[in-house]
Amino acid sequence: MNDSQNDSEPATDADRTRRDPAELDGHTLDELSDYLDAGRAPADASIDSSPSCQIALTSLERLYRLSDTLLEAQASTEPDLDESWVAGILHNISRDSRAGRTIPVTHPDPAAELAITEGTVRGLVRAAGDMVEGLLVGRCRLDGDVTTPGAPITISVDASIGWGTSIPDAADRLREAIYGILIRHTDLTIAGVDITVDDVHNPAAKGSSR
Amino acid sequence: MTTTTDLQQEILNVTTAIPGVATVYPAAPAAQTILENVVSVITQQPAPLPISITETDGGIAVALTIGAATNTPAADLCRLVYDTLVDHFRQNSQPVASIRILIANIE
Amino acid sequence: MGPQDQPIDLTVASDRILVGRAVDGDVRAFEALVRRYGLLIRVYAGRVLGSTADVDDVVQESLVQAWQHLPELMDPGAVKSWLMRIVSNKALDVLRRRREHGDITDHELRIPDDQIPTALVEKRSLEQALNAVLSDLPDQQRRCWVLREIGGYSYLEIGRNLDLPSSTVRGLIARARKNLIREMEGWR
Repeated sequence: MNDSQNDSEPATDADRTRRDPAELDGHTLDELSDYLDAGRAPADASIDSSPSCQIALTSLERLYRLSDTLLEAQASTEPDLDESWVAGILHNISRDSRAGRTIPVTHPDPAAELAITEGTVRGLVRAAGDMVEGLLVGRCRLDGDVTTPGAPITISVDASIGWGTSIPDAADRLREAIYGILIRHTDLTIAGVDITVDDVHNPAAKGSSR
Repeated sequence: MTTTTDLQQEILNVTTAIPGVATVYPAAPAAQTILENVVSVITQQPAPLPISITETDGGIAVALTIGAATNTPAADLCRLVYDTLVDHFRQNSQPVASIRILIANIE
Repeated sequence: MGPQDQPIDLTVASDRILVGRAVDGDVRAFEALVRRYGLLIRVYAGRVLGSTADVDDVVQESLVQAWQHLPELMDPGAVKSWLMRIVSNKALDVLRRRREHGDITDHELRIPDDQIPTALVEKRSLEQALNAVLSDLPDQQRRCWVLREIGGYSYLEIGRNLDLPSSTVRGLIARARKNLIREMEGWR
């Protein structure tokens, strides 16, 4: 990453394009990149029939493929993330931004204004999911008017299934766990729990953590 | 004479003594003292007082946000905190207009 | 009972699951994303900025902003490129500020390719060799190439952000490619 080492000796235009026309049968690498970007269409016979262009195109394609892994390779040589750096980020994010709606908790005394945040309830749904082996809960939605006590609420959950786990089985256990935890902790009237399994993961490492 | 700060402290003490109450928000996050070298990019808002008290004609209106422990049913805990505070104010002959309790986390 | 008693291993979760959880307020899921992509976006920011000076700030700011805007992410499976886009924008902001303060020279725009040293030290892999070449490229050349090939920016976007004509951006990228391909061909 040198800013200064090559500051002198400006290149002339001749320098810049010097090698291309001779080596690439009159084409430049830049043209060839555009040709690739366009999916080699419309077909250009002077490129397609030139061995040197074909070699250059192959190189370019190889470089494209390498672009992403290049960064990954570099990242893999870097020292691990500093724990205080990670903690610093987590410290600076706003948890309040995920509070969602306010879900009332009933009480006979009219002076009582009691409630649980929607975000807390979603946390309960995740906690229920985390108790179910072979399954990971993702996004969770509370469909219905949660702000009206007694209104029927449907819980919609995205989940990932561990490789080799029976989906209907795990879904049943998850549904049961969600009902159980919400009945225990909230006054919500749960009309149903919809589970969408749209992901698969390898559970081998589950529980072992990093 | 009881100042608002005294009253806030009193409510805080009563609330945190209730089994199942894990946190009273928004207190200054504990992590802040641990991490001296955290990012300075985000403006740190001054931590608001953990308990809000408003004087009304019908008595005080109290509002607090708490974190509940996982082993206590949250809605029941919410009611328990309310009942405990009402009892406490009754014993101290403190008229109460309303008490708002919000559970913002189960930890 | 709770997730804190026996934390489940979120490292096996897909991006979609982690994003879904983080959108719902799960800080641990967001942490898993930070750990999954933190190093990558740091390297990326370093490649764009050309110095380590502002990298930490840029990445931290980006990630805090990512948490904030995560609910707006339409395709949770595309979180990696979405993060890269946020980091790109922040890095370009820094470059813009540097430019306004006259911290950037244009000399580097005119460096002959022959002066770019190929990787002299023997590298264990092609990727390492190319990374070494990348590190040695003049800032603007590397920056434009990285924004185009990894960040997915168009010539026009790069030009607009770096205050360069598209033709110059095009030329810089062509030369970066040439330098990288020269090294790559040495590995055949």
